[in-house]
Parts: sequence; C-alpha cells; structure tokens
Amino acid sequence: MSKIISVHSFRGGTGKSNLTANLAVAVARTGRRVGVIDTDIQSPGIHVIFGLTEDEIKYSLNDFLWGKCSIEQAAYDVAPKIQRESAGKALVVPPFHLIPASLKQREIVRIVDEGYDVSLLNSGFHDAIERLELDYLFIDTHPGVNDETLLSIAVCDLLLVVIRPDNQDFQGTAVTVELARQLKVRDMMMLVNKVPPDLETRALRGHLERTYGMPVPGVFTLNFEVVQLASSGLFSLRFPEHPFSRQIDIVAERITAAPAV
Amino acid sequence: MSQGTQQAQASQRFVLQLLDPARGHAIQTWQFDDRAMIRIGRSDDNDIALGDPQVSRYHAEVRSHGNAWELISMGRHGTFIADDVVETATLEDGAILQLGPTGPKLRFLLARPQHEEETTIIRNGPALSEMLQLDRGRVEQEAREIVDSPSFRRVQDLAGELRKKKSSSKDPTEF
Repeated sequence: MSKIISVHSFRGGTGKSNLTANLAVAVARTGRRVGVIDTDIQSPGIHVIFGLTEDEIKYSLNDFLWGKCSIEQAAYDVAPKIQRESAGKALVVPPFHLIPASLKQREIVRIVDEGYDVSLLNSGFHDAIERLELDYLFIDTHPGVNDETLLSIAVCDLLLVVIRPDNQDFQGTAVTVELARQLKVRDMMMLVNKVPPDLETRALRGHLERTYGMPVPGVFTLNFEVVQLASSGLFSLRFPEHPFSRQIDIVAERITAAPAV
Repeated sequence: MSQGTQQAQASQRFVLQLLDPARGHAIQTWQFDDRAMIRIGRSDDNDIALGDPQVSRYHAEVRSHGNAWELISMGRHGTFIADDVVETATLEDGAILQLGPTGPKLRFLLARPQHEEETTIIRNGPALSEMLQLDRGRVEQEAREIVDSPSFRRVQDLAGELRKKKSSSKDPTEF
C-alpha cells in the first residue's frame, strides 16, 4: 500500500525542503516510485533542489487547485535530473514525480489572498498516488499551522517533524506534535537539523526522544559543505560519503523499513 | 514531590546486559536512566550498538508503555524471547532477548545488579535539558484552542475520507 510521508517544521529555515528532497531520492534509489508535492505554496522552493526551472513548469499545484489541470499534468518526472546529479556514478531510479507550487509572484499572491478549497488538496493527494502509481508521496508542507498543513499531517502515514535545537522551535513543535496526536497520525519521527557541532548528539537525541516520545533517527550537524550547496542540488548524491548523506541513508532505511500500520 | 511522581520516575530506569554466548554471564551492562525509549542495532547511532551480522542496523526498540517496558522488533532476522519470535512484547524483569535466531543475547533488568563494573550509564547532561525546555501547560492550551476550532474538525473529516479511499484502492498486503 502506498504511503504518505509529510515533512513538517514549526518554523521556516529548518532545512525541511532540503531534507525532504534528499530523503525522497534515497527512497527512490531503493526502486520505489516516489512523488514529492510542494504544498508550501506561499514560499515554494523544493523544485530548485531538483533543478526544475520555471520555464519547464507549464502547470503547477496552484493550477490544479484552480481547476485548470489534473494533478498528473502538474507532475514532472525529474528522474533524469536526479540521475545526472549522481557524482558521475551510474544511477537508475524509477520515474520520480515532482509536483511544484507556482513560482509566479502574482499566482502566489492570488492564492494567498483568495485561499482555496482544502478538500481539493485532499483529492490531489489521492489522485497523485493513484494515477502516478506512487509507492511513496512526500509532502513538503508550509511551516506553522494552517488548514493545509493540518490536512497534510492528518492524511499521512508517517510524519517527519524537522526541528532545530532552538528554544522557539522546541515549544512550537510540541504544539504541532500534540495536534498530530489528536489527528491520530499513525507514526512520527523527528529529524534534528543544523545541530551545532559542539552539541553531543547522543544526549540531544535522548533529550528529544524523551520530551516528544518519538524516535529521532536523524541528527544532522550544521556544516559548511551542506550550507554551501543546499537548495542548489541534491547533496547526498553529489557527496554520498559525507556524514550528512549517511544520516539521510539511515533515515531513508527507517522509512522503508517502518512496520506496517 | 508526590509519591506518584516518585514511582513514575523510578520506573524510568532499566538495565540491559549483553550475555556471554557460552557461559551466560554479563559481559557488558548498559543502564538507562530517565529514557522513554532506546534503540538496539548494528548502526553506531543506536544506544546499544552491536556489530554482529545477525543484528540489523536498527533491530529493536525498548519503549516505555504505561508502567511497563515494551520491546518492538524491527530487525530482518527477528527477535526471540524464550525461543519464540516476537514483534512486540512486554518485557518482564529478567527477560532474555535474542537478536536473530543465534545472535547476541541481552538480559532485561529493572534494577541494576550490585558490583557491576562494566556499566555504561546513559543519561542526559543538565545543560541540554536547561537549554531546551517546554512549557507543557502552554503547549496544551495552544493545542486545545486549535482542536476546538471548526476548521480542525473539517480537516479531521477530510483526512478520514482520504484514508478510506486509500485503503479501498490498493491491496493492503502489497507492502
């Protein structure tokens, strides 16, 4: 059965899109058919990591929500772009569908001003899974809490909560986690990103697991290489031996090995 | 501190001992204080990392479940208690778990044995706990305000519809 993985953070700037893109590719490398949908309509960005340019985007998620196209018309197979990123090594991934949000400023303003019917987003998730025959649909959500993010959380099989070791994130994330529990999310994991190198990762993991009552399979230390590349390519493919990439592989393995719920 | 709180905290301590395969005595002991869950596996980032081929990278978790501790097996080679393969099991004091059919054995204890020399104590540094703190009262209040809103209930209904569609559209045994 296909699985929906929602990736959410309470605040912006946690590196959520970068983690989503790298994790989705790591899952695709195991032979699964993967889709990524950018529901961060107000500040879209994940397409950049996959190298999808504005010129290549005829229809976006916005057009689907306005009834201008089907969800599969707003989906772009970026598998060839992923393959080109793989550090000169041969890499074969199944079709990999990216559903971007619009990059056009007037369309962003319009959808933010007018809003949209959230039930259409619900249909979009379902149609994407069915028509693109996905094994995994990753949802890159808008930070914070609104109807779209709550829906993305409510419908997922696994919620990946991205947090930075920062007091503001800590409190807001706890509210999100409580809401996810109320929405009966089946499985949750936490990823800690941008961890200062001097923090002891094992102690941090233990503290977060105890506080939030969920596994923390990924602890990503802040480092120069990732900062330098992030948002302009798939780091884990370009630098597969880097500690960041190894953490990505570990989390991806947890995602694909997660027991049936 | 109330007696109830003291009891709840007392239940948060447990010990796992790696047993000598031939003679059965403890060759390594880990004591966990104040942890809601720990992980066992081959990968270095587990709380108990065991470099044995029968141990999966993430083989099992021990999680707090009410007043008890529960084992959740995730490893490809299975986890065994008293020769029975288990997926989840409540851990009794003294239970022996085996990772894989002939892999390493761990003994679960609720109290730390005396005169134990080779203990690894895992606990959290106070600096981290002080740095990252939650105001649980505020968390509950903020969450309650959102949960009581009409839009939250609508989201719940929509999610229910999608789950129904999803479960009826594909063979659930496929994964």
